Amino acid sequence: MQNIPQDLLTGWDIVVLDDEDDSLEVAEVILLEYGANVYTAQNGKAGLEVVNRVRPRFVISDLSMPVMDGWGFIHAMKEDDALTEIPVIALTAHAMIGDRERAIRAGFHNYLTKPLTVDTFMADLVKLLIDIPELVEYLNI
Amino acid sequence: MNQKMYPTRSLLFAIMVAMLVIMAGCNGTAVEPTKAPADTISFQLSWIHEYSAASFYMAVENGHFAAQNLNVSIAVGGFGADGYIEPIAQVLSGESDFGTASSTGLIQAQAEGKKVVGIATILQRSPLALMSLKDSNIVVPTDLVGKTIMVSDGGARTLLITFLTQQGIDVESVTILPRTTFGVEPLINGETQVLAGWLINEGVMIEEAGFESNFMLLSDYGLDDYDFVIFTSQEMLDTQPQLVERFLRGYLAGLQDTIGNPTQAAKYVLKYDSTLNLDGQLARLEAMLPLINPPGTPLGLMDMRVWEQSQAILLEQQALAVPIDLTTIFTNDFIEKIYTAE
Amino acid sequence: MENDNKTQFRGRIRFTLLLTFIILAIIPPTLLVPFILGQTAQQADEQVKNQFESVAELKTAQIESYLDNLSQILEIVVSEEELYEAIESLPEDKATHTAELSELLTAYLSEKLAAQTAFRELFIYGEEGIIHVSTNSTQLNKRVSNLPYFEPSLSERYIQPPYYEISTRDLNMIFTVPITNEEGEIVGVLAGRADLAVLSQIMTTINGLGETGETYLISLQNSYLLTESRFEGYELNRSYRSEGITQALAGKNGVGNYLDYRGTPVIGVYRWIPELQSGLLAEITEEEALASIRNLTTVNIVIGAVIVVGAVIIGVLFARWLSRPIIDLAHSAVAFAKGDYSQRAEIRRKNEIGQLGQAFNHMADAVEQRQNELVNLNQSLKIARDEALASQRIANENSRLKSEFLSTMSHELRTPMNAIEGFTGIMLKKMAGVEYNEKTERYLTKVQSNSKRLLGLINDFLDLSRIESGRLELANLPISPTEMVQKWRDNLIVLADTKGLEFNVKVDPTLPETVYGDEESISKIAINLVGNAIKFTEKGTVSLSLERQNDKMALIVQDTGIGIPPHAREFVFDEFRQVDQSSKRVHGGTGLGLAIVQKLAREMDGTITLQSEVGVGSTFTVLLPIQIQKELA
Repeated sequence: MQNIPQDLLTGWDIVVLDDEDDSLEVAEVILLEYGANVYTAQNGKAGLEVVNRVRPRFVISDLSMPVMDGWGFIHAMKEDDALTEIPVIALTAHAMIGDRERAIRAGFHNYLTKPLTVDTFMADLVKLLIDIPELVEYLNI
Repeated sequence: MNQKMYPTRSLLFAIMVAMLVIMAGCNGTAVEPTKAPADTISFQLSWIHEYSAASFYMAVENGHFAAQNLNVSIAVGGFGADGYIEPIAQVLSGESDFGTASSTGLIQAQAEGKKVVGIATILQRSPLALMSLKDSNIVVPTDLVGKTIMVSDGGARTLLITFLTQQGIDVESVTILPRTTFGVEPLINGETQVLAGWLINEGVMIEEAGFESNFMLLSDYGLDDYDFVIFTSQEMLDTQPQLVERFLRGYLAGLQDTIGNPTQAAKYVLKYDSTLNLDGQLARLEAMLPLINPPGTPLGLMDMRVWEQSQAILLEQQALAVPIDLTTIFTNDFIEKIYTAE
Repeated sequence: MENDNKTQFRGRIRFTLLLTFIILAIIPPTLLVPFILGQTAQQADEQVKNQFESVAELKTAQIESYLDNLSQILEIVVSEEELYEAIESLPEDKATHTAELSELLTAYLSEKLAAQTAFRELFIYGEEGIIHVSTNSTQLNKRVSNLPYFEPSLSERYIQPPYYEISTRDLNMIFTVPITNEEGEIVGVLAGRADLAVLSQIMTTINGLGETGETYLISLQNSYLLTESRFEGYELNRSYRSEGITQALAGKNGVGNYLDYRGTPVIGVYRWIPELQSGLLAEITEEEALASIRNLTTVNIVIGAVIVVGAVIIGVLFARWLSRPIIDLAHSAVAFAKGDYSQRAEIRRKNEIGQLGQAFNHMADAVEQRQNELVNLNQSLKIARDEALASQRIANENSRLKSEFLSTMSHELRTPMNAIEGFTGIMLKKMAGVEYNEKTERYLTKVQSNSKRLLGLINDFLDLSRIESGRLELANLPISPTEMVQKWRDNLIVLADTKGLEFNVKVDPTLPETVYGDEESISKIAINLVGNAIKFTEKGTVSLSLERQNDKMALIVQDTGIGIPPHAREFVFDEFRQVDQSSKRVHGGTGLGLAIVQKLAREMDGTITLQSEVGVGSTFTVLLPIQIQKELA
């Protein structure tokens, strides 16, 4: 935690999707703390609009949302040639056993476990980001 | 109960096995090989759709080109919107892959630096004949003295003069009229006593008009040229010799069919131009067959002597300034290879 | 159903008898008749072939004599003194005597032509290939140098096989003889144009060839028909093909059965005639040739049909006689099987079938008695079974409802907890500009640790309900045992450290480098077991090892903790159980950990065993099947 520099995500556009306001705010606060520009939406459909407009470095998306859930969202992202390259990280409520493989099969780059705690969220996120070749060069490490 | 079923079942089984064995013996199933997509080729005629192209229709309709895995389209010749469709130009521009032209036409093209090569001849003999009505009683060359002869300008006229000279007839002793129409009316209405024309075309026309005729075939006196030579570009020969060979194989098979069944061939001609008359096309085709297939020469094979004569005619006419190298204007390689393989 | 069986049964036994009878009756004639017919047909075929071979032989001989004849005529013409006298008178003054000589020779040839009928024209051409003398003036001055006979004719006697001439469109055959001067030099060629009517006559004479027999010549040059076909619509000067033609033109002599140029099956004899460069064919249709055999075939078929019909009639009667008592017995059996236990067979004959009927009746008596007893027993069993089924249905439904309820509740509980957890963390880290004093920090820390405990509880609930509701999908992904154990160590060492315990891990080197399975679930088992061990161990060591045991992977967690008394061992895996209720408060935890472990192990087709001694420690062993290959889903 201490090793993660405060400007790690400076200048990054990140989109976070979650239908729970509080959860969204927690993610937003933490990401802001590391310098990111955070855009949020409360369902997959609204998320697609934001992603289309912002073209973020990556997206964090909850799986269960109204209107369009995370599965619908990842499907739409992968179908769209313009968006298919943007990594999407799934946000699973608590690490449900068996969800992981299903998420990766559906096209998510990886997944993060809820709750988003200050202690673990950033450490987990950095681990994931290092594994994404198209992002790692932008990391301010 | 199950036990009791067995005798019947095994008996039926034995009968079925026996029947299968018998049926298997009767049936030879042919398995179609899977083929690569056919090569598409276009062929430019030197004249309109008619009997002279019958062997190509035959090769298309009877599947001989398809058997070579070729998809051949036949482009009509003659006069188009921009004048005469010149097969040599069509082939050189890549518009067509193969065409037909006369031996003199090909020599002239090569003299102009156009790289075209004859690969087979359709007619082995020139169909040019001096035709007269039976009543005129003109049967031997000396009978021509003092007669009027109508002939088209160009090659035909040169051949006529060569013929007269060869036969020891003074050119001044005959009256040569220029020919300006396609028909045979000048002969029938007495405008001329002799008409130089094609035995296979005008000869049949006289017959169709209800007259008997005498004729002297110039080829019988050793004067020949090739009027329908199948040719392609030098580039094609260099880059796709296999394709050339396949095309000729298909054509030769079509030609064999034409010789074997001219009636079917004439019907195919009408398929390409329904305004033609079946009997007329058949009569012309039958007149043409001996020219295609004279004794002693394999179908399609060409003779250097005929090319030499063609060149001599051109030089005589001053249509050619300098003789060209005749060894490059035609090749029998493909025809010979096909016959050797057979 | 039972009705069907009855009719099929009856059908079958009669059918079998009938079929056997008919086959026995038909086999001898069907085997024998074709054999006899085949023999006879073969003989007839041979006979026709011999006959046509003789025909072909005769025609060939006639052609050869015809050719010899013509060559001889020409030889005579060329050898007579008059010709040489005429030629010799020429040389001195060539120019003035050419016309004279020509006249002389023409007269000579015309005289010779008139004396015979074999040639239509006699002519002389020179070495340059131009016709100088001819009995037909229209041929004068024509060139023969492009005709195939020209070259060979300059050196020897030659026969030009028949060909169609372009200008006349007539069939021509040319015989040539060289003319030599006194010095033996060839000065020209005498040629005769044969009248082919004779050849045609030879070939079209059809005496003794029946209604469809014919002989004809086909030229090698494009297989043109040279002599008239016997059949209408097949013109001369056309090319025709057949197997016989192909064979003859390939230079072969032989006989065969094939389709002729009309597509009609024929028996044909083919010969190659080199002098004519042509094939000679003598053919007759199979239909005519084998007509006598066909009559014989008809007679045989009629006899065969009579035998078959007779066999069928006798077969039907025989089958009926033989099968009736069996069918009657079968009727009884079927009725009996249907439930008519009073049914008994009628005994008609005292043979084996009669005995069978008696045996059936004895059996029926016994069965009827037993059946009555069974009906009563069955009744009471049915009632009991229905009751059991109903209560099981209710139990299943309850279990499903419970799982669903747990799942929903856990989700609803978790959501606010996540928020509490998240914001507490944010505040403790002084993010977003938050400020606080020492006391606030202490309370926030308490809020955080309590919310973590609550979350742990909820998460365990969720796992358990997922497993129980059958919604768990196990992954089948590659796992490196070494790396997996390392991850566990990294996670758990902190926990062990806080209690001052030693924590050892060990991986059996004989385990494959990669196994396939659900790492998440295996890790959950390990973490729960180790967490549990640490929780119940006050001092000493907790050790974890991954071992290979035959084709299974053993996950063994050992501690030096308080141990589990024997009476408690069977329910440690139940939900909400800790060994004594008091320990719950001391040790904390939900009591769900071991239940989850056991259920996960079962889901993975594994087993869990426990060895424990109170005061010494416990050993949990989880045996999981190793999947070395990825399962093909």
